Amino acid sequence: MLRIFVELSIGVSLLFTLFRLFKGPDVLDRLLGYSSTSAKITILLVVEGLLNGRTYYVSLALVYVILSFLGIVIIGRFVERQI
Amino acid sequence: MTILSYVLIATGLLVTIIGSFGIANLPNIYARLQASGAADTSGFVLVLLGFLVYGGFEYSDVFLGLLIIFVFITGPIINHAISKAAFLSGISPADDEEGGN
Repeated sequence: MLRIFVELSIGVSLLFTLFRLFKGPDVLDRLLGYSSTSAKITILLVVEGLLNGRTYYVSLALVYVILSFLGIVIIGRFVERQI
Repeated sequence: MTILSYVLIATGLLVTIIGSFGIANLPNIYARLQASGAADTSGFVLVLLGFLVYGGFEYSDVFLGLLIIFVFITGPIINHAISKAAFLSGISPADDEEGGN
């Protein structure tokens, strides 16, 4: 029940953010879509790990969030020509 | 405790859906950044707080708390980095159409 509810909601919001990721007319729009999409994928990782009893997915989600943050900040600094 | 966690998860999912709808439909990159910065971080933190209080204390709750603290700090940093890059690369905040530059 809880799993179906969470997966349906995250799936609907993934449709919107993937639309912005693939369509967005500028590179920063795609970067914003990538940031929001990676947040949704992290929520899915945590939910699947906790409801299936595989709790190492949570530390995997922590690594995923750290790498996503590093990539987004580095691409942002590259776009404003300061790196 | 279960009712509290259901309320937190439902509120976070509602905020996440509204923020994603704003990201897909608002006309300007600054408006999209405002939708993302307001709704994305708070929805993420609410859903993960709901899963933090869902069961008893386990070992993975330590990593879940670290994840909540990290996202609560770095969400505004990501939005500030993207908006600063958009302003310094010449996109005017007064444009209403898509792809203002």
